[in-house]
Amino acid sequence: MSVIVRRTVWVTLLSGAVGLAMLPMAQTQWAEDTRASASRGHGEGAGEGEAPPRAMMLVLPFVKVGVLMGVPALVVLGAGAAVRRLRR
Amino acid sequence: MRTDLALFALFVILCAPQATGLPLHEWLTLAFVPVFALHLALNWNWIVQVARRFTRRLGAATRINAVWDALLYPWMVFVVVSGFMASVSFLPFTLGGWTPDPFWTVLHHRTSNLLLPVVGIHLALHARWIASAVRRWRSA
Repeated sequence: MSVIVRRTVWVTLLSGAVGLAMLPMAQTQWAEDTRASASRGHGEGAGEGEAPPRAMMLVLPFVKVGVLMGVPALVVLGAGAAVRRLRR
Repeated sequence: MRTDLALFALFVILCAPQATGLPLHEWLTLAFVPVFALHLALNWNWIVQVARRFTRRLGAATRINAVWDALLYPWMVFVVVSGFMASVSFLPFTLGGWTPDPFWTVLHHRTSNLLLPVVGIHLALHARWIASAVRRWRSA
């Protein structure tokens, strides 16, 4: 087995272990409170209203991804460029 | 380079379940997980070198990079795990009688939305590496 394949398997197993370590979170009081408020949210008529046009449903999620990833990325790139300019 | 492109494409598609539908969103995660693991395996030498030199000879930019990547990794694992625990397609299909836990559904929504800027910043912090990798790929 090549080094990369072996490392990939190890990373997957390690990530699985990290993930399993997160599962007990569901047994906490905070989890119970979250479930209670989630069911209250469904009871208060959440999800009512017209669905947006199909074409918008295909495009808008990717616009959201672009904005939520792109804006912070541009801010960081701008900050990095400003820091480099100040150092000169 | 191809691994990173595939990872990025899968990640973007996975972040738009309203467009793809939940079944494709969940089943595509099965492809995302090994590609994500491969991405870490391919950059393992960098991870180990930076971890070893973290408290000593390391530039501020690399240190910031390492801290941000150390934040990104458990966040990504959490989003994947919470997604599986909130599954409405994959797990009910494979484990008959599975019902998603609303706790994990709520957490998956919140943490996956916050993951987007974290990944965006990760890409920006590695922008120089990405640019040089693209240049190498074009000249190859």
